[in-house]
Amino acid sequence: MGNNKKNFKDLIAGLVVMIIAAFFYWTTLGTKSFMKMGRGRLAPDAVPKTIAGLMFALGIIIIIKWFIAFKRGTLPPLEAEDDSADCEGMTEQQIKTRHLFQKITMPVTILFVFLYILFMPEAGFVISTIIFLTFQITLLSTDMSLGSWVKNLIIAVIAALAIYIIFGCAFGLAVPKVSSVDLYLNDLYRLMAGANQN
Amino acid sequence: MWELVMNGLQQMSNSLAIGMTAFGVFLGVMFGCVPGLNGNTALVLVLPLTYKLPRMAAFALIMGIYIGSCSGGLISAILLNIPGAASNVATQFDGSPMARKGEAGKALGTGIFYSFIGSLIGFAALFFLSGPIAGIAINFGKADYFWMAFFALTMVISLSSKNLWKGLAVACLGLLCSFIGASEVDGTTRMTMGMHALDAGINLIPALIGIYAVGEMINASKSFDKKAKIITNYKIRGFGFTWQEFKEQFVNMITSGIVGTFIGILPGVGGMTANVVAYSVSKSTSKHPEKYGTGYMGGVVASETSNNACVGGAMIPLFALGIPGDTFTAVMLGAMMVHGLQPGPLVMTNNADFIYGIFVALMLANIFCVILQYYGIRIFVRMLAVPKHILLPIIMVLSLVGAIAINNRIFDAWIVLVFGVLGIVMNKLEFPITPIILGFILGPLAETNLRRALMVSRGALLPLISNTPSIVLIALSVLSLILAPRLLAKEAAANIDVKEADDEGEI
Repeated sequence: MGNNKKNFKDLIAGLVVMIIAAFFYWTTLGTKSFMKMGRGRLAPDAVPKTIAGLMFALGIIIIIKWFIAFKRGTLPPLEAEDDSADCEGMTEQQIKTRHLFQKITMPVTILFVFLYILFMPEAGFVISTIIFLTFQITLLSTDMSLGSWVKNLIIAVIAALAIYIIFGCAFGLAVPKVSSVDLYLNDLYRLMAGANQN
Repeated sequence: MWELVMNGLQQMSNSLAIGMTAFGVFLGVMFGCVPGLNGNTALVLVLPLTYKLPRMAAFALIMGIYIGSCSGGLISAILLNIPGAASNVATQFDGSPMARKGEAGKALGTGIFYSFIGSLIGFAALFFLSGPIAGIAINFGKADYFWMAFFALTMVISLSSKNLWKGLAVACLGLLCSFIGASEVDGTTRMTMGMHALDAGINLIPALIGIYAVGEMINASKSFDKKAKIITNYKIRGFGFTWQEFKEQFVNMITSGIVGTFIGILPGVGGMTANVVAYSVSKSTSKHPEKYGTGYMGGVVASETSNNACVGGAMIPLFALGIPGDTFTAVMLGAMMVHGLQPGPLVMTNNADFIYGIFVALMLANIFCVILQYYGIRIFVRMLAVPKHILLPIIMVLSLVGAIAINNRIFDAWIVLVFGVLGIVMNKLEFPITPIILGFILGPLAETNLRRALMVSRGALLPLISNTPSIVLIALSVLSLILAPRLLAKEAAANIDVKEADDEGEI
């Protein structure tokens, strides 16, 4: 009971499986082997094609199983997320904001990570990380006041510099060192490390 | 053998390796006890560090995290009434009522002590079994290897999925992802869609970071920070229990240790299954089953012994066969490749010093774990209040750094994102995640050996199924498909039982 929404999860699941299988089958087309085919020699695309075909069939089976259960009405109901225990003592407004954020956090986070990776090679590690961290921390904190932005910006600057100096400079990991900030910090680190050695 | 142990000791006897073990345990316990974070998150966090550390120190750090994270969740399960990680769910069933009865100190002491014992039991199995199993696997032919991979896959599919068809579909997806790039037999590049960045295939570590870490992080970020009541008025004296109680729990301890080790060995399931199964076994074989769920020490013993016994168990297939037993060991497999080790049965002979070094690191981590938890419990309790909305984005940045640094290219960060989104979608549609990882790891092993075996047999199929090891492995695969659903049913039943008992306790 509780939720009257119909459970279409497995229908979508089956369709997703079929689409992914078809996509992978498409990628195997036009594979050319350098080796001559002969007795007992499987072509390089033979196994991938078989597996993609099998996966497509599995998608169909998942949908058929869903359809049978749907007709019989034996599908388990969708579970509603219950967070009333966490909302104890909150005002109506706070609960509303909380539910709104619960909805948007996931897609917005994915968007932020997408933009972060996109701009990292252009803007360099330090600047892109500071921007990403500021926005992401503020998003998760659900507090959009000016004070919160400033506080999170400070945290982001400290964290980004620490990560860059420890991993990018001291350990010499290949993070994108592009902007003048990146390069300046790198030179500064080398200077200090060199001075210590002398 | 003792010579090898001495070599292992020598490998580990430098301050960097010892320090890294302690640091790993600290991180592991900390991430284990904060609900929403776990050992996998801690491992992703330090992954970039392990690339640059010397090999032994890197793996000492990883071992420390593994041991610490299995045990750390007991702190929050007992004091907070929320298990810190899935492997401590059953600890809460009795640990939390104990704490509410005023026996928090005893519950903590019991948990810490029996975690240690559990690790010892798992370690004994690892020490004595991995060598002989690797010895058998070394003589495997190509067809046998194919069937071994097949067997591991059937196990994962049947154990990790409630819906067999979904498990199969996801395993196929893992296999398909593993085929991208140059094929091992003839070097033909395939399925790259013309992207040269994919010519060498998808690297295991970015894929794992994406599926597990990013997916989990985004899920955890949904739940925000909760205000929870922490029990603070407790004292630990000794380990809190008497010699008499130790003797009473002896059989329970041994059974739970064996259950944990066995479940650890099975690919695809680990501590999260072990603690619940061990709890139900312990309850059904106990003389006082009615006491379970009301704050009975036996419940904590079963759960904590079994989840730590898993650690040793899960590493047996990793070292002996190159097949990881759970997510953590899958990332470890990736780290082994970064450090130039080729996983498989030959590791045990070619890199014996290193493997025995790992054994020593495990023992050391186990000792550190007891000391750190026993004396540092108040520090870890304070960690429970760490603001997750700051920590999660920082971990996200570090996981991307770890992915980019592995091949020095931004392309792997995109892999993280793609697999992250894939993980989220699969989670929403209730697909099991483990089969995709095992499919991804076992794909090349299965395909390459199948193609080679067919070349040797000139296309005949009979030689593929007429070897003794092959026949045994095929039989085991069939058996796993029949038996595994029963184990799952048992776990589900135990979960329901325990929940009912807990609910009654509340009233």
